[in-house]
Amino acid sequence: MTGTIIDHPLVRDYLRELDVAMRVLPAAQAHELREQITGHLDEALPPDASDEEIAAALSRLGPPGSLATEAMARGSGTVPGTDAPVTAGILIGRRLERVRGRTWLIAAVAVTLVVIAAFRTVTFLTAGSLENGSFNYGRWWYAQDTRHNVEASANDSTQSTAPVRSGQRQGYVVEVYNGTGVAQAIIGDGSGPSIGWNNPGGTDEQLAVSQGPFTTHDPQSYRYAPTGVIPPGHSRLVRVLWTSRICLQKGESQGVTRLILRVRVGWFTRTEVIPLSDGFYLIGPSQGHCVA
Amino acid sequence: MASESGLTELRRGVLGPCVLALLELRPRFGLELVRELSAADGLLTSDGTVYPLLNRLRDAGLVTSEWRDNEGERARRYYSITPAGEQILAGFRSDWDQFSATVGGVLNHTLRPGRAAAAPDSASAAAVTAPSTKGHRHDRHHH
Repeated sequence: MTGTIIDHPLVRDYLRELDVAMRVLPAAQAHELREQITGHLDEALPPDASDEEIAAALSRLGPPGSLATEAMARGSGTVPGTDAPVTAGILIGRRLERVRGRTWLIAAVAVTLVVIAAFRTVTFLTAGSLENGSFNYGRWWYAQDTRHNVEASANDSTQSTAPVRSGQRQGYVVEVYNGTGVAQAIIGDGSGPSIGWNNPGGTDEQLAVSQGPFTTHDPQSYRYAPTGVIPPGHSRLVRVLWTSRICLQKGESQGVTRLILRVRVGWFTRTEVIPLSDGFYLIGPSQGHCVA
Repeated sequence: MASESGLTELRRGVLGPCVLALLELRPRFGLELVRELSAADGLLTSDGTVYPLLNRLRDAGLVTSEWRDNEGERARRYYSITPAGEQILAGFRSDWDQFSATVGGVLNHTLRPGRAAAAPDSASAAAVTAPSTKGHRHDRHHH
């Protein structure tokens, strides 16, 4: 799985320093600034940027401490260069900034403990879950699998079954809908030994997200990238490809009924398990070399 | 010659109106604004300062932001100027013309003594940090 530029050690270090510097800011303000800075880096740098390019981009952004200071700066009741007054919320925030450092430290520790204790609850209260698209859109990625697909329905669920093509690339694509009120970023594959896999039995799994709005049901017409942001109320296609290695006897099948993603909302990264209304199954017999 | 810290303060004072001026032409996303401002030589000391500024402008009701999901592009947060932002920008333009002419006159020794007496330093300084919106002209600069 290809990582994003946000996963690069230099960027991670920078964002960590930024988080520390922004501890004095109100949470919502810090949350927003972090989202803006990560979005800036994600777009300004190509996924394969060199260390030098990344270091230069971070240098242009300025020291994390300066960014936090800039975010705290309020002028004297106006926005710099204008005579626009700041809002009551900002004035309250400014008064809070005058609270002594030790008090802040105690408050920060208390808040951190509460946040950690209620992490899952808070995440879902503020973000909610992604879901399989409202039209339950999903299909095999490769035409040969679509041609040989057999659909079977039972108990309000559908099963798409295609013959296993041992040693070859196979895959599917499904619509993922963000019905929450905040943008959510799919940052990678969340599957693993303890939680299960996103494919029915293969290696070299590659997960990708369509770029741009979901406007047509032709999955091949989209551009795909390892990560993607889904704005509130929008959908994206998630594509999962793998090289089939599973050993299946004739008539025997194995499939996936859920998609497991790593999803980031602001500071929070979580593993999201999305039930698929349309399961994808491979059916034997396997041919050539396979892995039991 | 102005010191680096002096230049920084000057930039800081004019960056807000410059952002409003760019948004007056059309809505833009953050990186786009950063690139435009960076292209204007010497205006932006660091790319990151644009984002806190955008947030302050939004808090003050001078810009709004919304997520857009244009076809063939990644989802981005776009910023637009509000009517209040346009009004503030028009006021700044008017004050800036007057202020820059005054400063230019002093620097180049072309300011008449009577004019200098009518425009005390405190009033000039106030025009930079908190320009009045009253009685300003609605002339536009070229971008």
